[in-house]
Amino acid sequence: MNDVNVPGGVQAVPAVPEMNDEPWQAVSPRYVHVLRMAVLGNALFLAAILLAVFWVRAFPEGGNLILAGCLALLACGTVAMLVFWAPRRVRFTRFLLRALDMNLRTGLWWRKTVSVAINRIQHMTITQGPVERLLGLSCLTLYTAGGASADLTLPGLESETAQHLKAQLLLQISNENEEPG
Amino acid sequence: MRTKSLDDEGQWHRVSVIATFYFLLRSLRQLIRAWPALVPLIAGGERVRELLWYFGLPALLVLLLVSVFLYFWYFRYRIERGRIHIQSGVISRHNLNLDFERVQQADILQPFYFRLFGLATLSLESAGSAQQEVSIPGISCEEAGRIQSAIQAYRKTGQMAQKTGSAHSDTCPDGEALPDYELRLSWTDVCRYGLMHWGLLVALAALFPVLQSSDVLLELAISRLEETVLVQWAAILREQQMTQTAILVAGFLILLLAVLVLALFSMLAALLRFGHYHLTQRGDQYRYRAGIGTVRTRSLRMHKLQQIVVTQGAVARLLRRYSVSISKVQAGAEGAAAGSSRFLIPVLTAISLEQLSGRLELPRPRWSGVDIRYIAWHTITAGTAVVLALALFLQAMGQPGWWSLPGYAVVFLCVWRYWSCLGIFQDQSWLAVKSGFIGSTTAWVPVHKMQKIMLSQPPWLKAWGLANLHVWTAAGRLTLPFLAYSGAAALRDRTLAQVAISRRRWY
Repeated sequence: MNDVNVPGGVQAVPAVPEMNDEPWQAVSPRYVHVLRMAVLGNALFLAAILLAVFWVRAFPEGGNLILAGCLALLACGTVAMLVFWAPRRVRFTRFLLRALDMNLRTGLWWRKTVSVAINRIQHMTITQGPVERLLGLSCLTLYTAGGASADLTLPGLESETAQHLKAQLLLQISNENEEPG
Repeated sequence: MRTKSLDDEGQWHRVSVIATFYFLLRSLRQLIRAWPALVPLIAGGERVRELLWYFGLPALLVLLLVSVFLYFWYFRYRIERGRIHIQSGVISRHNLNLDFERVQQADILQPFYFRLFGLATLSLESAGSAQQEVSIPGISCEEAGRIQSAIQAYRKTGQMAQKTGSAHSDTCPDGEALPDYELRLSWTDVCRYGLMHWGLLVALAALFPVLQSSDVLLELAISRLEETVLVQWAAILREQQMTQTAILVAGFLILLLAVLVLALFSMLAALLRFGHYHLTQRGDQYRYRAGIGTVRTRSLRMHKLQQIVVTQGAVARLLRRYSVSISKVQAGAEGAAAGSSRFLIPVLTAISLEQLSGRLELPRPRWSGVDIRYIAWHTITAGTAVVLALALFLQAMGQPGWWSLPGYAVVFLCVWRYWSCLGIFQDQSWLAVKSGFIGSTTAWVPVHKMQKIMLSQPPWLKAWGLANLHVWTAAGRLTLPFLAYSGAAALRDRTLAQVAISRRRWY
């Protein structure tokens, strides 16, 4: 973790190291199983909807063919996500905790880097779905004041890592002292 | 009902019996929102409708009046050191404790039915993720002013203020120091706001999905419409075999009349909402008082500012006027909380906008444009969607689908115009994005209010070395599109560093 110097007091903007050069940490490799279960669950849900639509005969003539085509497409998409997308998603999901901010990077084709300053964190939660509990993984969510879309969720963390990160963030937050605006 | 004094600390007080009217209106609003429950009853057949009309509605009315009176009877409030307690509810009792330091805003509203009796509603907005709005209706103006002053003084000094405290009160303007800045809107300016925003048109447009979602209601509406004079008149015209030109002219005149009537209603609504608009600034606090029927007083302390939006629509551009909206609450606030989160200055000239911008410490922006590949991307995506939809429509009408191809040219021109109006500005203190087509909208965000920042590179932007930068504040998201990746990353790092070291309060 890097310390940030602040020359000249509050008004001076510190020279922050280039984010790409920082030591980003990977999430647990077992997170791929969580993603695969999610993909399978969504695929089964969509298949159920397709079958329900067929059952009430919402299709015109040739409905069987259309249903078979949709199911085949769904199956291909599901296999592609299970085999190609899920492992790559895990490989390119990384997080970086620095002295003043927390960052999450995801995606290979659709790259996103999300950053939250430590002094903007309102509160944090650690959640575990049933699959995550089986695999010993957790999600750490950092809540800010910008609404649900402004929260930051770190998925696929080892439970110990999530607890450690939370404790570390709490310590950093408690060291922050606000002055009136 | 004896008007209580703030000095009666620790005692429970009831509000005026006139407040039952306030509770009645609130209950009616809640009932109206539950209109989908009526649909199966109305569609249930003639017998069900009869039962509803002769028994259901009277029973509902009686129940409503009884519940409103009981709600008034069990509603009470108590002020003690630095805290307000409110008890409410009949079957399900609520006890609310609100510390003065958690009160973000204290507004005094005077609906017309309270003004006759010298009463008002004190509306308190609390801080925190729940973002609650609490109202105490039917208390005297003096009492509301004293509580408001006490809250403001407590937030300044941390102590309970006496009733002769020096804090600024909305209801006691006499004897106050001159404001640092003030703005009064004339009646013509407020009417201009009505023309600029056409609120009624928007409200009517919002009603159409409601009607269309209910076939039964639509059938009833159509059957009623068939009986109106207008439709009968149209039938008479057809019978007399009037020329098509005459019918077109008649239709155009009716449309013009409808537009004029809607404009009139919009101006009237603006007068009711913003008549006698008076904005003042004292130190870091802005306050406005406006309204003819219901008088609203809204205040804003500068450090709560999250976002400033300056808009100039197409009509506003013709009238050479601007509107300014200052947001201070988190995104997702609904209903009254969302409305009260915006501090609105409805109409400004260019000169008064410049004066206000100086007061708000907005810099003079030097706009930089957005990458020209913005036009290419949006023309391809939006153009393809438009052309495909048009092609399907043409095919359904029995025409060749390829006739929709010129749609790309139209989309290109529209995207080019939108791109030419896009601008981005950033300095140490502010981020701003300007957009528009005929008019313009400029959103300003203070850098130190940022909550989250995201650098996003979809595949096409990655291929071009570009990125989108998204900034979240408590008022919502601001997007800076199609930036050079290196510039966007540097801006992200600089903004993050400024926020991280900032000791200024974000709320």
